[in-house]
Amino acid sequence: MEPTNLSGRSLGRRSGIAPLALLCLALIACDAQHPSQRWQLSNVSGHLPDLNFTLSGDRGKPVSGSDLRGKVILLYFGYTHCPDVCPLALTHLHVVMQRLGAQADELRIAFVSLDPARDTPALLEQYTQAFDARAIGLTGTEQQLSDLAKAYRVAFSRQPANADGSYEVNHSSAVFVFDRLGHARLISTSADNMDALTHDLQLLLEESE
Amino acid sequence: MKRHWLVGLCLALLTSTALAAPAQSSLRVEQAWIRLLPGDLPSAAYLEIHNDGDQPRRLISASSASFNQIMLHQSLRTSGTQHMRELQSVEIPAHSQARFEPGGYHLMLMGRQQSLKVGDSVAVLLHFADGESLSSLFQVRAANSAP
Repeated sequence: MEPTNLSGRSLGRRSGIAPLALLCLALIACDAQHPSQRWQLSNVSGHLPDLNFTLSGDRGKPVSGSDLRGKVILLYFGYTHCPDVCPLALTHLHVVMQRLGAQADELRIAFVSLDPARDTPALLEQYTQAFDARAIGLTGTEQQLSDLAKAYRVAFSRQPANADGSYEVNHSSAVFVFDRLGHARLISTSADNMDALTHDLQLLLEESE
Repeated sequence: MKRHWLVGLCLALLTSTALAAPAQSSLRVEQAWIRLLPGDLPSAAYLEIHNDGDQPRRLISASSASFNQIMLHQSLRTSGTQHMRELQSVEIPAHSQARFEPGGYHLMLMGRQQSLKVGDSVAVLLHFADGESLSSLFQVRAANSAP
């Protein structure tokens, strides 16, 4: 049978293009079925557990993962006595929230403190509110924190105290992004920029519940 | 006799002038700011130290009436984990600069001695290995101030 194009016209001498056109169509179809191509951050969909935990909130009341359903969650692990990296990460998240405008009301920053000894609910609230009104401070027992950190492969370790009693906590600085259903979707590392996070959050916010 | 007296006077004047007006420092500080955190939390300070001289200079410490203690620190990321290390000094190469920026070198300010608010200026003395001390004003900015 003589090769024809989509409208049925004979391609004649242009028959060599038909297979290429078909290939292109196939690739476009593939891309539509695998939208992961459009994410700029690391896509972890299906690779990490849903956001489930029981911790203490900055109002002193227990907070569970299910309390955060319905919002897109930006999860960050840190501690308040961290003068440089944690404030920078939270500032970046705040800037992204600002860029998203009214849409950012559908987002929450969940700051999990790995330092319950010093990070009381009152201090956590003061701290998180200094960065963004949509930030929530959380902490818990060593076991609760260990369980949550392990679920997301977050390493952290409290360092030996200095002479004056101060100490640091080494921690992963990744931001974990969960959709409204609590599914882990994306990871943003410090190598990513705010443009990538803004772009991907916009896509995530456009998804219907 | 008269000439010796005159030479002596000239020498004395020149010497006293040299002591009273030392040579201009080859160091300049720019973009100095403090990211103010609430309560008694340690805050971080950032700056650029420019060395216009022919010799490398070394910052060895900093002090301020507004804070009990200031440490030189560097944030580092190793195998995905963030940590800090205290530095004994930071070198500023000749005809170059050292940048203290979020995520890198920073001054860690502890034990705040006075209440501070955004917009205030805080004087910090930078001490160098060769004995020079340089006073600079740092602008107090909000916790979520984007550089």
